[in-house]
Amino acid sequence: MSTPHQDEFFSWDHDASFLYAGGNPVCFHCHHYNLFIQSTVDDALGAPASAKLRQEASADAWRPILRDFLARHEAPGIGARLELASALYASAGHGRLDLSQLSPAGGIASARHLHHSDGWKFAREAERSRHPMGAVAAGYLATAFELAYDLEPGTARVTQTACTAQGDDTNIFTLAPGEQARALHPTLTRAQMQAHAGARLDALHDAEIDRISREFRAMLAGISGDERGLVEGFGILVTLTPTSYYNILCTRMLDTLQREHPRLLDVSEQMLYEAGRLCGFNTFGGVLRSPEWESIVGERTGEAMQTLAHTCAIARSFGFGRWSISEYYPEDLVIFCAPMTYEDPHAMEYGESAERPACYLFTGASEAMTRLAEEVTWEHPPRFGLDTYEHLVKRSQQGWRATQTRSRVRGDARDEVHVEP
Amino acid sequence: MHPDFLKHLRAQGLDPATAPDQQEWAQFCDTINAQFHEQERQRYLLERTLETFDHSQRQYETSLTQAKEAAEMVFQASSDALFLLDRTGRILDINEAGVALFSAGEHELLHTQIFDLLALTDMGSEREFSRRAQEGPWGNENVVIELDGEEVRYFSCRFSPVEPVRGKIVRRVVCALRDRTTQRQHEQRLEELNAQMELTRDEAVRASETKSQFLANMSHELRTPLNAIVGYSELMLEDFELEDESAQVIQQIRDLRKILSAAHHLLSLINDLLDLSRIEAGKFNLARERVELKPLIDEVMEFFIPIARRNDNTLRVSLGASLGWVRGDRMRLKQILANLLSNACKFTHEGTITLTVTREHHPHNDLVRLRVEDTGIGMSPEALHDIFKPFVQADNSSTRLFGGTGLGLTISRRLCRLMGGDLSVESTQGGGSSFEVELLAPSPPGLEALSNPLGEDVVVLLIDDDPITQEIVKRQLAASTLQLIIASDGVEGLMMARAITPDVILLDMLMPRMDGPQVLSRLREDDALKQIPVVLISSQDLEQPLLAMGVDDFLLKPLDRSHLLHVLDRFLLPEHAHHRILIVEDDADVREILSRTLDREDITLLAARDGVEGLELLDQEPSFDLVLLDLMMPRMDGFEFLRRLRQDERWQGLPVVILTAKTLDLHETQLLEQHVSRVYSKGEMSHGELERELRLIMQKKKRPLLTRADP
Repeated sequence: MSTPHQDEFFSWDHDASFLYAGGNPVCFHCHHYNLFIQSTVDDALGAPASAKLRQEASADAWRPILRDFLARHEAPGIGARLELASALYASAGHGRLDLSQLSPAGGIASARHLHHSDGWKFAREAERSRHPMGAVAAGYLATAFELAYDLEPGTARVTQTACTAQGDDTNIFTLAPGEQARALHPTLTRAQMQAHAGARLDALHDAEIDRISREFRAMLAGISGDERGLVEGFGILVTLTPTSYYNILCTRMLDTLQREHPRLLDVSEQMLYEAGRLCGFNTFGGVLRSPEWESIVGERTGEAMQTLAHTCAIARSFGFGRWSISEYYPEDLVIFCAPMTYEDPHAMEYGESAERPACYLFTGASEAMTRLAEEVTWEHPPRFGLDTYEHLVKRSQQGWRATQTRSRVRGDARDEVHVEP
Repeated sequence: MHPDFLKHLRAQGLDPATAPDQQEWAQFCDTINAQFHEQERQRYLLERTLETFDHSQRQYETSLTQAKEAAEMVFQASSDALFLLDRTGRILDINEAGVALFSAGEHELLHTQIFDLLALTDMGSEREFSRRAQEGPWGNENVVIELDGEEVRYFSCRFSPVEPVRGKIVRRVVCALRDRTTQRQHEQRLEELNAQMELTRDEAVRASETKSQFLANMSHELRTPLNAIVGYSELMLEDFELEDESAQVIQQIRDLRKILSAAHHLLSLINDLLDLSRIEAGKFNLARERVELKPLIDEVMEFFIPIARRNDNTLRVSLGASLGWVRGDRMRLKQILANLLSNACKFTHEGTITLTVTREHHPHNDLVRLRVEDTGIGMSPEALHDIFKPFVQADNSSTRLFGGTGLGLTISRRLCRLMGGDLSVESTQGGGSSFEVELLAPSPPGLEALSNPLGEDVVVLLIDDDPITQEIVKRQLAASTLQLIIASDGVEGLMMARAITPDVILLDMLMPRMDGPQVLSRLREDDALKQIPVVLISSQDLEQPLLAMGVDDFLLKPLDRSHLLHVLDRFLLPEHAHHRILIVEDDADVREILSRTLDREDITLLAARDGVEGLELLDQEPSFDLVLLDLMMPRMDGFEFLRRLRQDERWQGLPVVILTAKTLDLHETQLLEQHVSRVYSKGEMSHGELERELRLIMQKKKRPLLTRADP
């Protein structure tokens, strides 16, 4: 994704398959994953606490990126800073923010389209959300406001007053500077990511997966938010989001549950696994059946191994890490591995949730990838969405199950997931 | 406002922005109240459902926990170190015995690779480990672990893949380490002892070989002059006995007889020592020939009657009916009997010595017993215990008193055992002794009648199913001295051939059960029979193809008597009325003795000093009937002579008899067995016996092996 102002701002570590915005890691995710993980945090912590965490996580995750972005473009004044902030957010597919009414005392910010609100409508059609969907945008607005007016980080107060997912015409936020700075969540830099990088693994069809990944990354680099500030493709809405946002959500949620409601921990972990499975099935499935994908890889053979390899290429192109297949035994066992996924380094760096294996996305998506390979008839591929997911995954008679068997967070040399019937 | 609440309001026709009237409020309250009741009921049902789930889950967890605890208890209770591994060899669990082996704690050991921990270089990668796991259980008997970096202990390591619940790919492997340090120490000690024993054995073998070589050399060095002493003594005796019986001559005869006796004694001592040495070295080769018992016993008895009389003993013989023959070494069997009778005569005075020979019939083999009983001095139980040990006699004084080497019984028993039989003894002090030789003998059905009468006659075996042919051949040969044995088909013919070893076989072409070519093929495969000349009898003129099959000759039916006899003569009768013998011997004394011994009217002797001269003589005089050959000679020894002889087509069928003082090894014996008629040790038999044997061989002209093996 690019904007007129962001040339060379995004850069790939092709070998590790991580994407950086300035000096911080980012990754692509679809509205299925973004909404599900939001719902999971809502269910685990309750809507108000969830909204607060998501807003803070967004603010803190975006802050170093936006700061780098503004610094790189040496914006001369507040107006220019706010304009650049809006442009970056739109180019990342999160929606086009109108920040023109802001002043040092705060004010109103609005957006006709936001990824999460439009994603809700995209997925649920006429159903209205009970809660405002703009917490991620609220967090970004807080950071943009603080950086534009040189405020202390964590002081801006942002409230969503209207949400299109709840039937309003537009998404409206009120902003105000605060006096007391809240505690900030730690985020990751490129240097920290590279410090934890794992050794390259011996895997099946690795060179071919690498080749496809690079072509797909080149294609993705040309895609940017449309006039709505959204990216719509492969039957999904796609965003580019700081990986720290997801890291903070998962670790804070699980830590809070472990502290306050330990019996809910297993359920929540299961929900994170489910988010990964949903993402893997719908996002990867949508990409695989798209003409854009066919233009890169040519004709699909429908062979399970090819499908597995292609899904790994997609994961690598989305900045999830160097996902690979180390072993494959048809209808029996698939072993996925990665030197590191974006889910690992936050816990490794800050020692949070170190007892848990961490790779919920990798694990859940591995099951989905196996199902795409073993169960989908690619001669007549289905339209991927919640209905297909319900039919082919949740109600499937074929009981595939993924288990993370090695974890960088727990001290192993690699992440590894076994998927077996 | 919660959308569900809004839905309720709107269902009641209420606007959240406008306060309702009393009736609307009452209806709304009723609806809300019912809603609460319904929620309460649903909450109750949900809670009960959750309680039920909770209860089921607790039950499941309890049984699961119990099963896990039981498994854990077994796992932990094992004295072997146990590791639960994933398919790549990573440690997932470890029991207390396993943790105790290593200085690292359990936490440090978990998730390490077992092959790194145990330094197993033969599977030092995850892929290699998972490949091995897929192939089934495997082990390593030599795992070395240094405890605390000091004490080295040895373990046997067993990897057992766990059968997967689903699919075929192994997910888990159990590794069991068993401390075998003590066992290993025992094994090492055993290995050391074995090595030591091997060393000792090698030394003993070397010593034995040295001894054998020494004995072989000594035998040659001793026998050759002894042979001269014996030979010249015999010749001188013969000369003196022809002269007048003056006192001087009589004294010289007595002296010569003493010399001869002493020489014979010395020769027998040397022979006994050499025999024992060869038996102990496993280099003793026995002939497997057909030995007719009756003639053998007659021969031995004839010899021992005068010996028995010396101590005023009576020698009796009791022979069972149909003694038949045994397969063995005739000379050695005679040696055994002579030894037993000699001992009996020696230790009995004015008593009786009885030789009893019987043959017992058993389903597969007959048992021949040769019992020598005496009424002599007998033996004490102690002496009886050691009687078969070398250099032991009833008491040491008996050696001095009665003479002998003390090796005779030892050799006799070992010879019996080498022939598949045994020698046993019963004796009481003052009550005489009884020695019994047991020998196994074949018991071919229907051949009983054939077993004895053949003797040394020339035997012709006719294998033909046609009674007319049988009758014709019987009549045609009636006037001859030939013994005719008839077999009615190929199977019976083969059996008889094996039993009687005929001199010639007349074989019919077409027969039931087994035809002529099949019989011929079997005969040629049998080492004991392949040299017998086979004359095929056929109604068809198939001379060339039959000869190509390895038939020696063939006769066309109807058989013509003169033709039949002519063909048989080719194989059975000497071609020359006069025998010509070539002696190849480097020792001038031996040459002279042999020349004088065999100097008969019907025998012409020529002598050569070595192999080269022997071949030259053969080349000049191609009509020799037999070669009497020494082995150890200058320029060209007997082996080389023999090799060149058999390479020349002219001499391939020429009988060769070896007369040597050399002790032969197994290879030499086997080589000679293929190319010569007989091998005699110098001094083994009297000159009269030698002459008789040579005449027999010349009559039964030996067919060479090379022509059989090279169709």
